[in-house]
Amino acid sequence: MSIKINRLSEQFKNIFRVWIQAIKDTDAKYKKPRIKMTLGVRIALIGLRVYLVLLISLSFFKLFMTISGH
Amino acid sequence: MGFFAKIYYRFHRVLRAIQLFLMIAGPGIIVMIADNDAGGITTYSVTGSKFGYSLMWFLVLLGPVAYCVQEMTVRLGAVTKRGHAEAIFDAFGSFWGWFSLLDLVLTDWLTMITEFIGMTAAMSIFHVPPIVTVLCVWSLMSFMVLQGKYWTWEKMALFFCIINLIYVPAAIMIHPSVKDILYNSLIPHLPKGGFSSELFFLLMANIGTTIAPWMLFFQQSTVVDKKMQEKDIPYGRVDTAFGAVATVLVAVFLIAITGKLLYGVPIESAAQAAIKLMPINQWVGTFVAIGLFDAGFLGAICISLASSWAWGEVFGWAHSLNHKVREAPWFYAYYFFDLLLAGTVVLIPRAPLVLITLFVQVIAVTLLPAALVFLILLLNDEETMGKYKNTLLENILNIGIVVVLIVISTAYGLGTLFPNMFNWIK
Repeated sequence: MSIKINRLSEQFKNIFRVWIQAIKDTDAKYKKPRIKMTLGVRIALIGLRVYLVLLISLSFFKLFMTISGH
Repeated sequence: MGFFAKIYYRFHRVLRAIQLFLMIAGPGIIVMIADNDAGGITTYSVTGSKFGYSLMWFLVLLGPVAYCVQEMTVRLGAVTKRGHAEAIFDAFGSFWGWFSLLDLVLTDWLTMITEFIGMTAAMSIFHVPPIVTVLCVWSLMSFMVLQGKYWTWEKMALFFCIINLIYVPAAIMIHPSVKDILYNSLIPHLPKGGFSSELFFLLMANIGTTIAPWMLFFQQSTVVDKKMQEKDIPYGRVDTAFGAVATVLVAVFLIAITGKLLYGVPIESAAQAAIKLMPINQWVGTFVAIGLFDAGFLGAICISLASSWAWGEVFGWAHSLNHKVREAPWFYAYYFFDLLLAGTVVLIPRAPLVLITLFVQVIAVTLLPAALVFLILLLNDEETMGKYKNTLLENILNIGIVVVLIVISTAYGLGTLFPNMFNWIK
């Protein structure tokens, strides 16, 4: 029984390792954006960041309000 | 003789073009009809019951909008031979890549749960317990992908697309006024009572169901998996246009049903609409319930694949329906994991299903603008797209559509978060 559990945990560890390695490889492979950073692209990306920060902040605000019972 | 030879030649060319179209058609039709998923069917049912036929024109207008956005994914997929997730990683780097991938995975999983909610609700009308529905859906979805051929999967998906058109005969059975349908579909006008916060929210909900983030990822991946080339783009466009027409048809005919038989009746979901239709016309009620199940099923098969393809593309793992399980273990592992996880949530007693349905909208609006902006930027990248990059006219049209979609879907997401936000309208 303990051998089986050990084998199973080893298999899970392997799967986990494969995933971690895949994430690291992907991160390294796509580290640099390939697209030319023209003014339009920069403005679009900054706009997106601002949009996301605002939206996520609002979502958390709502979550906080809901939890605190308002 | 020369005249007959010319006619024969032209006929042969047309026949060849039709044959080619039939070979290439699929991704556009499937993604567009799957767009009418369980959430979409609910939105159309509620629209009809609240405003009758008066918003049909709005849905007709949304057909070309969906076409314009999805057509860009056809071009991008055929030219780059890459899925949307991989294209974002490659062009914009790992930060935006991870953001898009993780957001897609979360949105898809939550949307999958809503599809399962729709399917179980539809089958419970026929007294089928949720556990049986979920098990049957799992088996059928597994059977579809385990054939090891994209073509087989596509044919089966197209079969379910045909079933989605069940709303057309259902509407014909109740003899709606053709004149009223044509008038309300072609002449834009406001419903009785004018503009209100309720109308505004429903218009936003209809737009929200028209373009979902998974659609962009799904169609581009299917174009790649189908090995479409640049020369196939015109056929891909026709395929997408056919799909857009079909999706509008389904929406209009469903509104024709609920607008005629349930006008003024308070309903909150498509399953509720089917139940309330049963005493009025049992066949129509049954058709609406079957249609709801089919819509949820179509949505589920497309959404689960969109996520699996995205993981495979990004990590460089084998990710094609043409591969056997042994050849693409991670692709199928993720597919089944997603399926199991979404189905299990529906079976949990007292799971917060309503909260999940609302949460889908909020998460989707964090991804949709990013995916749409990336799509426009990629379609303007001359190095990648060459002669297939957006023309000035396409840019004006598509940027306009994208801006409107972003503004309205954001307003819809915020309206879901803060329900009293639009009360100032009236």
